[in-house]
Amino acid sequence: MLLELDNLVKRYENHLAVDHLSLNVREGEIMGLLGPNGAGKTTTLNIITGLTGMDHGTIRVFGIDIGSNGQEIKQDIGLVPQEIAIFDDLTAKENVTFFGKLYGLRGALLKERTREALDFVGLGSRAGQFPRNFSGGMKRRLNIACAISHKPRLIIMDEPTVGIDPQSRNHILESVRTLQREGSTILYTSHYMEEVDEICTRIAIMDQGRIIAQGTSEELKTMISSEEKIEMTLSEINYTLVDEIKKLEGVLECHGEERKLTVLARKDSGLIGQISLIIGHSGSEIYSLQVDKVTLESVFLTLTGKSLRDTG
Amino acid sequence: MRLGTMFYYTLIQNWRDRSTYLEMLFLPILLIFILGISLGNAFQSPFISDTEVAYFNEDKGPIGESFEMFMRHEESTDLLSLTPVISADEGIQLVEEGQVHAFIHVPADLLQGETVKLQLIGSHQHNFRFTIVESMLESFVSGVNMVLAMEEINPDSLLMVRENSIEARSLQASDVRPGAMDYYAVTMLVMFMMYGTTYAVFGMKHAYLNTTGHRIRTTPIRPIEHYLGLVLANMLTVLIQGIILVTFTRFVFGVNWGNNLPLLFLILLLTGIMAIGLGTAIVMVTGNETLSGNIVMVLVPVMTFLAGGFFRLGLPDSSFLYYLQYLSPNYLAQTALFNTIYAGDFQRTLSMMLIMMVIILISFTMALVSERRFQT
Repeated sequence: MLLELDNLVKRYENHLAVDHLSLNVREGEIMGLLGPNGAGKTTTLNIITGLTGMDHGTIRVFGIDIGSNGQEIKQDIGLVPQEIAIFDDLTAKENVTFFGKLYGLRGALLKERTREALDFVGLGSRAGQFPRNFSGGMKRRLNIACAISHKPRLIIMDEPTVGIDPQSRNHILESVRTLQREGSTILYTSHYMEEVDEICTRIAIMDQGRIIAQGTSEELKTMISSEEKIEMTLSEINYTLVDEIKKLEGVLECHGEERKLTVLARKDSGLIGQISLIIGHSGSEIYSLQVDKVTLESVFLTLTGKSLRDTG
Repeated sequence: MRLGTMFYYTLIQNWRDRSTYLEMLFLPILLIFILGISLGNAFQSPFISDTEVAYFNEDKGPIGESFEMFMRHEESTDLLSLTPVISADEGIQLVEEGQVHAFIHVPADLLQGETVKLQLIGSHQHNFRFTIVESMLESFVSGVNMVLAMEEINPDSLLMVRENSIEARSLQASDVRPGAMDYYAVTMLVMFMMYGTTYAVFGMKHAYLNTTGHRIRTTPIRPIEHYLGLVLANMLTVLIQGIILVTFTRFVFGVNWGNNLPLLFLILLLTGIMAIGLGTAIVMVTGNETLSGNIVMVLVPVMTFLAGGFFRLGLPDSSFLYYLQYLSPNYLAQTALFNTIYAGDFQRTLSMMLIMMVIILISFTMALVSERRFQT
């Protein structure tokens, strides 16, 4: 295992941010960490990178206990923080060089790796420009370049695609795959289910400081394959209607947003007829109806009782 | 090595923050110019030339003769108004009655025994004038000592040396009387160096406490390297600004910065460290960049006012505000600088520097203790 988290506990006064969390990440995989706000994802990442202390538990990175060899381990970790953490008064090249030097690169190797990192994120032609003139997507890519110039074995990416244009997002996702192909192991958090589904080799779902499920995307979907998701567009939705549907036998979850009604129900429960009847009685009309196959979104909804988008 | 990286990249970022850098240079130059010109008259009044000094010269030998020559010299009479008296008691009485600011007693046979000493008696109410008389007397004594030393080595050269040394070492009137430009050059230099606290506030917040600082802490850099790299770079930035201001005002405005450049540099260095120490302490205690910036914006002018940076306060020695001045870093730096430039009391310069060092120690200790709050 490249990263082993065993029984981590972190408490802030009366709040248990990380609750006996255990997680193993294999060498060469992209591990996705999914969870709503306050689930403890960032606290867990901060503990791994040494920014936050832990109250209990052990962390082994590259087989070495982080408690006794923090500095040595840091040499081989690259962190891409959620917020853009670069210097506006240093050029793109200087930013990457600065972090490269902190990771111990020197001389010709530093120059070569800096150039490689900038080319990798598509900023090679803008090496001499200041990030204050960059778009959000370009800043995000520079944020990544600063974490990879030293070719770390473990790259931790905390929501690296938040708030950027689709072109930059695709570029970043492709970069993540390339980094994995080149041998890096990646711990990736995101609110975007589809991107986690698309790039992660394994996924851990986190809620209230604990890992509540983990496995490949397919394994997670199989866990709730006995369920189906019904999506309807109605002329109007009210709370009474949602409550009535929730009372039906076989309905696991129901929520409405604007004119869209989502029902998670046990598979083959034959509820569509009953739901249509309730809608009819409420005076609303059905404009469209769709029964979806299980997605990571529905897995998350089933396991946590929350929609990740709503909490994100 | 990583400390060097932190230091270098912080320094070039400070340098590239042109608007702040130019503001920190242009504003003081402009203020020195405006205040120096507009308040020039206030400083042209015979501020120290009417210092009343009584003296009783009992020595009929070469020392007494030299003393008379020194005190009657044009440069001395520009500053002092001399009144010879016929006894020591009369001189002391004049001081006690406040009719003179100081009394000098040159006893007979000064060179004959170690117990016979030149005496200077003054009043605490006129500290500044007393210091001037004291400085002049020290110059005279130094000159005499030099003549005596030369006499030991080569008695033939005595006459020539006596003439040269005593006259050459007489205190220049222009040196002890700072003009408005000289005065505000010092106070504005100190004020703007103290505004250097903002480098610490914004630098520490961005590169230590904020996300970028957190990111840096996930690299193999040790916390002390990270911290020191930032502090040293910010300190050097402030020091360079100070040196540029001194150089510019010296050559363009003709401001007198004295002859003791190493000591001047040392005081500027301490002022720079003190500014960064205070800024670091403020941002670490508040943890808030905006609040810290506001505190600095209020604190620096108040400290400058207390130090008489905008205009001389002329506070009585025993008043509360007089003692409060010692809490103003500006007052400490200004006093040390004035004493250095105008050859004042060296002991006082040292004590000011010592208090500055204590403030530096306290502020960095506060910063380090407060910083632990952010280590979750």
